[in-house]
Amino acid sequence: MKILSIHLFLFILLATWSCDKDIYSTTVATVSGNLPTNPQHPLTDSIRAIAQRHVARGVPGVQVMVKSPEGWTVVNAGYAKIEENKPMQDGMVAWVYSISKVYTATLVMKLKERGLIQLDSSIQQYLPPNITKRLDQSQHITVRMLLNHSSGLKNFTVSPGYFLAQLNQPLKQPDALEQLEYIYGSKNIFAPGTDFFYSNTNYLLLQLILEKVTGKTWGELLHTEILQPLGLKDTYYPVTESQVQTLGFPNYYFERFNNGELENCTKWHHAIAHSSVGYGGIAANGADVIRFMEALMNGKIVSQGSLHEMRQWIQGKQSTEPDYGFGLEYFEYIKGIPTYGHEGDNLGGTTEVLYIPSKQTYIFISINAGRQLFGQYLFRTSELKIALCKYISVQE
Amino acid sequence: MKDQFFRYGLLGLLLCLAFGGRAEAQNLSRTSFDLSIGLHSFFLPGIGAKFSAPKPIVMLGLYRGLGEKQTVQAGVTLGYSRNAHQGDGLFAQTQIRYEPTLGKSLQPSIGTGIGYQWAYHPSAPREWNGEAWVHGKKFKGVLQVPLRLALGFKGINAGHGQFTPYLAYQTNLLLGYSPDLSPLPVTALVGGFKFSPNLK
Repeated sequence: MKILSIHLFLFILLATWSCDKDIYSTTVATVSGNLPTNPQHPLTDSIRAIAQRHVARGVPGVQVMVKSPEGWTVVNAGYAKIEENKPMQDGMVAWVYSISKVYTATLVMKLKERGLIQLDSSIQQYLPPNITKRLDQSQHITVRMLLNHSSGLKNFTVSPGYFLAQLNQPLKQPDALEQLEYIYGSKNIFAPGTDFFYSNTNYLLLQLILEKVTGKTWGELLHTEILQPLGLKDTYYPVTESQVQTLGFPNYYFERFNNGELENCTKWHHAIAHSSVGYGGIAANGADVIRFMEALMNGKIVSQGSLHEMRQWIQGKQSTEPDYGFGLEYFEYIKGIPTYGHEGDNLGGTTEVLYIPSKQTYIFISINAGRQLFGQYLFRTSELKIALCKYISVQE
Repeated sequence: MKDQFFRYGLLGLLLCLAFGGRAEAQNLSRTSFDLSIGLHSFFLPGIGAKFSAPKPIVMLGLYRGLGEKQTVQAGVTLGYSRNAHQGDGLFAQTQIRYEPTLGKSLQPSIGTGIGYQWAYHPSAPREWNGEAWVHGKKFKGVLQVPLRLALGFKGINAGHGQFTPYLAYQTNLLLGYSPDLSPLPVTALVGGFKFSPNLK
């Protein structure tokens, strides 16, 4: 009886004491935007209405930036930090996650143009044996297959070992070589070149190839080949701790228990993003992402021939429409209207950049709630992105 | 290496269980108290995971021997696992254990059962009530399936009864924590003792 009383006491103590602190939250710096927006932009009201409708359904915060022939517009809705009702800000910087793959693919194409990388060469030509020997069928995997996700390599970020390591050490992330350990010795999902499977492993390997071929870090290449020539001053890699505190990053949230409740995971989210490098490590203001995409589409970074190659879409056996080019995803939000860009996801946020050629319009979306764990927020955030992208595809 | 350690450990324990004999007839109560402390981690051998960044866990049990031989024990365990980053866990579980005695003193044990865990958030969650962000519930209740292997040394007599110190490996599989993380294995390596009081 005495023992049961002790347990009852402990239970009551814990029930009242647990989780009173926000261990992952950060302060949101106040920043100003300097984007020359068009106050009469014809898309603003509709975008605002869509964003506010979804914020009223529980999306914490969203930023939408659009560049069309009528100029720029920015719409913010909801909060950058819900605990303090801190609004999203025009000039904020946010992680872009897998949109980083567009930059990595672009870097590969630039090196291809210089003859430093052959797209159809085996990755064994560029990577050391201590890596390739531990990857299934690496002799048959080419650079091209990494670029368009047809290598068949498993995605280490969804391996059980990676998942459990995230839970055990959220603030101590594995480096690139440690990340590969999670899929070493695994059988490929399909024979190289025979199907499509989106895998962060492919772009992690591309990062290593870029570094091996040039002797520079991926970050150095990003700066010298893309950011400096284009004058993109609001794009950041690597992101320092002081930048995290001063650039107006929002707080990030995820739904741990599939019960519609959000938990602040900002520091954990930052830690994952820091470690994502070539497959998801860039932070930027959305306008810079659009400027980069616009320069890419206008042939100002790579040649028209390379751009054409980047838009050679492959289609998975189970897909009903094209899936992927080189660092570019293909979408038809409205049947018959092709668009392309890239989505990005991390624990506490989701993004998208999209180009609609028929409208000469670019859109960037950043939402500070994650959809990587199955739950209500998978649907709430996806529905918002789809609604925005459908609208922007037709603009009626 | 760790996987091999667990495989051989499991094999050794199963051999002990297979060759284990009946409990010695002693003047002890059928009821025993069980206290263990140790470290836990999100881990399961064989899936590429590592027993990393372990955190403390404490368990307290009350068990009763069944049948004449008392090689089967049934009871309840209450436990608390501390985890600042993923949220604490408070649990209650029933277990049934097979605990033969090998030779005079060696007592292997295998057990399983069902339990319930109050899985806490590490930070206060928020919920949208249609108009504003309000505080959410501090925890979620999830089902738990414990799997336990232990090896004890029976027969340390004290004034009021007998102590059986042991080492145990216990995995609690959490069901319904999140659809993408279910079953979620929480594995503990603990040391503890069982105390069986003398009959009065």
